[in-house]
Amino acid sequence: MTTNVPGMVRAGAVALVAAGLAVGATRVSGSVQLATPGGQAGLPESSTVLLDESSLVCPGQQRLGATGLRDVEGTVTVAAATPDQGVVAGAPAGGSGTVALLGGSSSTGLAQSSDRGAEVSAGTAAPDVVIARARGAFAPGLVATQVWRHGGDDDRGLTVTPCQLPSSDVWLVGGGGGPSRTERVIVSNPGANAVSVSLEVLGRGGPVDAAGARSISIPPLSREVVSLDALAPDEAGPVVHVTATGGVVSAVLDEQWILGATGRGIDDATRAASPSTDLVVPGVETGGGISLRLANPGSTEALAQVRLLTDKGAVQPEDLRAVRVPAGSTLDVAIPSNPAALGVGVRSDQPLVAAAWTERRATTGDQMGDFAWTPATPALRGVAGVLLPGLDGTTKRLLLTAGSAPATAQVRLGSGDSAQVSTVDVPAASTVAVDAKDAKGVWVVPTKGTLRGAVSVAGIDGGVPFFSVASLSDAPVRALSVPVRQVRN
Amino acid sequence: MSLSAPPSTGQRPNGTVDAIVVVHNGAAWLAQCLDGLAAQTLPPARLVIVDVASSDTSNAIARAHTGVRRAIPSVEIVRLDGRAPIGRAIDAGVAALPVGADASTSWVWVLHDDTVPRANALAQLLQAGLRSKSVGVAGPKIVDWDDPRRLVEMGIQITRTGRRLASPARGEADQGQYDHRADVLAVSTSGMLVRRSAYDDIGGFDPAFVEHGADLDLGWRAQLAGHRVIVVPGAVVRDASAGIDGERPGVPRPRELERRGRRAARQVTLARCSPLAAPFLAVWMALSALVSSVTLLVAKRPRQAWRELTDVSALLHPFATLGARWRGRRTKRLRRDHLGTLFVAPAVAARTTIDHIQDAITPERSRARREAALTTETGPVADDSESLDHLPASLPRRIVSHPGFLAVLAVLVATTAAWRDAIRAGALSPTNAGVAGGELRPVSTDASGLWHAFRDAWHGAGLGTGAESGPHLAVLSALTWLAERVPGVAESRSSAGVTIAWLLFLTPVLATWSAYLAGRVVTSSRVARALGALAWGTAGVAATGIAQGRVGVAVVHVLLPFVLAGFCLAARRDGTFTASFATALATAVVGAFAPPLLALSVVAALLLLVLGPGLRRARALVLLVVPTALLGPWVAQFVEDARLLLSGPGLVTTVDDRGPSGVLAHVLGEPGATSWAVWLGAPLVVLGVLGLATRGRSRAESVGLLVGGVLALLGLAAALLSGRVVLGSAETGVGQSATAHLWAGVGVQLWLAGLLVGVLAGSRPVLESLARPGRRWGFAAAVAAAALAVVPVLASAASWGVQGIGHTLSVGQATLPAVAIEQGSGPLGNRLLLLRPSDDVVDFVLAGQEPGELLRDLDRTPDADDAPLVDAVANLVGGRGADSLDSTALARLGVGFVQVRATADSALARRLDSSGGLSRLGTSERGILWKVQPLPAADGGVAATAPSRARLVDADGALLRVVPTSGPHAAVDTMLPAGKAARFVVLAEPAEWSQQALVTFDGRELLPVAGAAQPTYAVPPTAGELEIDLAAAQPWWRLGQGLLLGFVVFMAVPFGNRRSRRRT
Repeated sequence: MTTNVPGMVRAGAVALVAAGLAVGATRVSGSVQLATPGGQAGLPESSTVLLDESSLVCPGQQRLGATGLRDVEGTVTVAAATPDQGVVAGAPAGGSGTVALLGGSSSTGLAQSSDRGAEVSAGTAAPDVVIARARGAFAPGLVATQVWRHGGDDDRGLTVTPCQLPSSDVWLVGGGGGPSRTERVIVSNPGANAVSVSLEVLGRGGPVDAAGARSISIPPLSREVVSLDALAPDEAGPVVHVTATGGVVSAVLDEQWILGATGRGIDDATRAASPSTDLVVPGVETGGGISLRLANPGSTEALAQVRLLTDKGAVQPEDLRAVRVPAGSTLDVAIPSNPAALGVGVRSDQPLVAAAWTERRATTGDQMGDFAWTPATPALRGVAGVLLPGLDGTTKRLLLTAGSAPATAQVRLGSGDSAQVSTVDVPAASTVAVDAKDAKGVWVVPTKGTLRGAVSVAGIDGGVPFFSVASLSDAPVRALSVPVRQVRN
Repeated sequence: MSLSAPPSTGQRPNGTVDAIVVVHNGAAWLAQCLDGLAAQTLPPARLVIVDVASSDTSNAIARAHTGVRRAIPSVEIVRLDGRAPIGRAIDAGVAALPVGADASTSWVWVLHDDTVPRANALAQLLQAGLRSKSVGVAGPKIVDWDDPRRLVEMGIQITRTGRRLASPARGEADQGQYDHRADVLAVSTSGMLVRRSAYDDIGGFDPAFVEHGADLDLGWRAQLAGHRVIVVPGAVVRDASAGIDGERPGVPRPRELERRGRRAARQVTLARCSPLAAPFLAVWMALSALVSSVTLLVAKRPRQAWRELTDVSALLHPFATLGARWRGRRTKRLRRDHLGTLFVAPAVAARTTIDHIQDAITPERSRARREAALTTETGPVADDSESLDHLPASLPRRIVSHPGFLAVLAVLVATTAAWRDAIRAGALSPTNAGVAGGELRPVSTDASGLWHAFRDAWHGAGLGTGAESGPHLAVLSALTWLAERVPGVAESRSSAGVTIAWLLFLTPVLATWSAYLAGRVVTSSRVARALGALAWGTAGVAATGIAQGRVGVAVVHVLLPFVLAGFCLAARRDGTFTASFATALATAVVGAFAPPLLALSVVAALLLLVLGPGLRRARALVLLVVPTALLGPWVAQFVEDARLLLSGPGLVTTVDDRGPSGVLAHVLGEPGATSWAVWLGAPLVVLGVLGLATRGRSRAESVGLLVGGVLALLGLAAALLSGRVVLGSAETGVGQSATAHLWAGVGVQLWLAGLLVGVLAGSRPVLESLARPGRRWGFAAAVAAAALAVVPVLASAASWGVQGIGHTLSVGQATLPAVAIEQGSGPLGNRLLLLRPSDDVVDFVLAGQEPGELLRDLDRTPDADDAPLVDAVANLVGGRGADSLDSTALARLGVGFVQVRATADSALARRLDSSGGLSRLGTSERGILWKVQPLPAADGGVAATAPSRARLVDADGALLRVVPTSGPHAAVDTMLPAGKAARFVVLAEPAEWSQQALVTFDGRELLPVAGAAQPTYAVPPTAGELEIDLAAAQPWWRLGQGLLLGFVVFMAVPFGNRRSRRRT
């Protein structure tokens, strides 16, 4: 048998080349790009963009339409405005837009303006939700506030309620026990479809059972008023958790307290920051009793440390060093009086919800007075503001509380040509008060650090104080624009 | 026994016989012919050798032959100087014979130079001739020159219409089956004994028929004149048929001779039939020639068809025919119908034709050749020559012991085991929608949906596109159409999905089968081919490809063996065009799924075109042109974007396996394998490389082995390089894409195919060694090689069966809400917007009745057409707008439903919840479903129940009524009632749609309103029929493709068996 030389050459060559290719593939790196691969097929990254339409929900006349509660007639003043040119960072100069107030399920136009800086305001006495809506260049930075001011005996008091962005999950801290202390939870649905809302109440002794199954349906562009006393009768320290399914809602807790024959006041508790282990209640006005209500929605007892963030820095009262909040329960702790404006910092090992209650009372007579609820709020990021319509002759103070680092903010008092602009530095863990004088609106643009704030309004009416605190929350400015991509299957 | 002639009596019968031998360049046979004459038991009295201008040594042989002169007293040679036809030559011979006293007892025996009469032939003929005075002509049994047991002719058999019937067929074994024949219409002049008086009576040969048809005409006229023509089975003449077989120098080609013979037979028939019948007969001849010619053309017998058609030329010489008829009038004594029994009965002719057809189309049995040889075995067979052991086994036993069948069966078992989980989940059930996952997208459509996606000018998912769609859709559509013939499949929610699932499931089985068949081009050993097929069918690359839902890889795996074998056949001398066309068709299908292989086939065909000799170039041209032309305009896009040539639907990957383990997996033919199973491929690689060293039996085979090696290396190089060529990006999940390149498996398939060529070639020496153990070491090596080949392949198949196909493919992904499917496929034709939010991007699918992309492909830049849609979706999912949205933009786009794959408490779900015009229908595991409110109706308009694809609006754009659609992308065929004022039909399609759609109202074409955001057409206020047709893109191309496909399929389908094709 002769040797098959060509065949062996053939097989040998194939084996050699194959081995060479394999070895080469492991040794040589690098690649050829015939096209540039794109992570998202050429789409833009997600970005924040200025809104071209924004709306805020105001509860409307709070004191009407609650089943089982006495209607209190009256007119609330709703005001909406968009900030001056240049306040919203990144917004193009000029541009037209509108700001409008719309009332009720038929979106009746209450007031409208196309002038930048003009405050659109209207009074409403109807039990309807009021929606402030801005379009076009006016949409970023829209701010709306609702003011209820009532003189007289029982129903007297001042409520300055910032209108809110709707959300699906609202914590309301406020209310208390006792006869003639009434709380109304006003839930508004700004959407075009009915929303199902469930209300849970946490109390001193844990979750309030009767309220567990409470669920209501709110028609489009409507509001429902629920009496908290019906949900949680005789609860001394209620905290209400409103959750919506099938849409988003805005909710406030309107509280009126008449102790015996003494009108103690009236106020709206607005949305508190979601449960967190690090909370700051900004702008607690002193001058009367102060207490802090903590709620622990979790299933583990929380150990909290409460500090006062004063104008001279953080102060740690000894008996607030360790506060135990039982699981699923609420707890009111008294805050020692302090001469200056302050904020309250809460750190805990479990997420908590918090708000501070402050009070001003007459020193004479039956010591009538007024109180205010100030919720813990998230830090400000963009533009925040409060409008103060029809509050001439009152003392208005802007209270800014910084977090663990020093913060700076640009503060605008008033708008248009008469606006006073100043830069306010807030040291770390401190609170700074700025006198707002007779400004019709207060705008805050944080420029450095984490900052929270509130505007307090106080005055005397017939020797009896009236008082309210409106916390600052971010105005709708930008939205996260998520790129959309079409896929074929 | 019929051949054994009765012993001659030796007594001279009452009659004289003169012989004529016609010689024309017959040197090869003449001596034997004369020998035969000399050996006659009854030698003729005189012999005239008519030499028709022979230019060879015939004349010398005739002069020098002493044997014949010894036997026959008078031998005369007549030399004709010019070429004379046979009739003239015989006439010349007869003229040279003296006229006896009694012409009725004088006979002339005519022989050709290539005939050898058996010794008693003349005696037998004469005896038969003398038996009756009426016999004018007697013909012998003409048998084959080489094998006297095979018949050539026994009298001329002809139908009434002049069609000659080969009865007996040339070469038919003589078992005495025609020996009953006596009276015939005519006999061949070869060995013909003619009574001199009869010859003189009819005047010899007619001048019109002296060459072809001379014998037929002579016999016919003899019969008409009352002289019987008989055939004498006892008289046997061996005939070399030198003229017909083309062995005689200087005569036309055999085919031409046959054609002339056929034509002459027709002409004789026209000349001798009844004058009344002649015109009808002429018409019949023309018609039947035409019909049979067309039939034969359809049966792909172009030569036979041409032969049939030349029969018509018999009608082209009417004057010659009329002249012959005029000349024959004198001698006609009998009525023509007296000859009726001499013609072949129509029933017999028909039966013969049917037999021919049956013979041509019945499948050839593998032992046909041996059986044919046995037919001439007439005697008893020795018992030991056909013992029972050698009898063919029964059919079931043959099937069960067939290695190819066993390989296919084994793969079927392994496949079923591997698919057990999927089958249990209903992957193959027609009640489900098939499988999806990996590269395969969920699909819910049918054959028509896929066809529209391929053919329509405006097609595709979402808002659609006018770009050229892939021809793989047409292939899948055809497969689905076939599958829909199976009961139950057509009723499936997604017959296409079910078909694709079955295709994936059956791929290993089909690939095994195709590899077994294709392996024949390398070796005929069934065992080796079965092993190779098993290795191919269960190859890791196929298993991985199927597990990842790569339909293209599956198709390639099935067809690649055929394509490679087809190219091999085309390059071989014995290749056929049928095979080449079939290969071209398979190449086109492979190319439709895997463009890189199309490119490779083009290169291979070009090489063959340049290097191949002779007809191979023509076949290479077929392989070069046909696949490209079949794929049509789709191929043109490769020019614009070469990346597409390197990718393909379901052929890209975003996984980087360039590391050493990845390289090893590629080399071992198991891409993606991570376990020890990867090493099961190693023996095959080693054996494949070693097998390439096998000594080729011919130079062609050596070249083939070299090509196999080159193919393997090309494949390996492609597999290793594909990961380094970035083609772009492909979607990897919701909102994510990653760098994409060609899947290495395509190269691995080629590498494996090349190695299998080596394995099959190397099997030959191994099997020889096993069958005939010679040297001890050689035998041991063969056993080791066989074990090395068999064990890992079986282990690999078993391991695959045990491990299963993985969890990438799953069942029931293509589940859109029933209500959306119902409205989407109904007259509303609305769509479902499916949102898949992620942190970075929201992916959306606009699902309508149009199927989406079946397989993952490279990302393309979004079409500009989609801008309104993208804006509407962007607005919906967030961004600049407020929380309270308006859904009219969706309704305008014909979106009837929105489904979000998110939880109810996600921001997007809440956003949709609070949007005007959206109402939540429910929540399922697939997401939350919202219904979109239809656009409000105008005053007096008909309110819609849901958004629709086509709508009739008034001048203000308010809805008048819904226009029902009848097909994908707003195809409409409906009657519109009369309206009052100006009205418009608006289609929820992108603006570019109107460039492709043909919109007509009562037959008049409507033009789109310029500047409208959506295609809008002004419709007259009268009642009328509105038609919207999405005419095929490039209709001429499509028509051409269709015709070409028909032609290629026609050419690719073998008609009749190989035997019958060889015969033509």
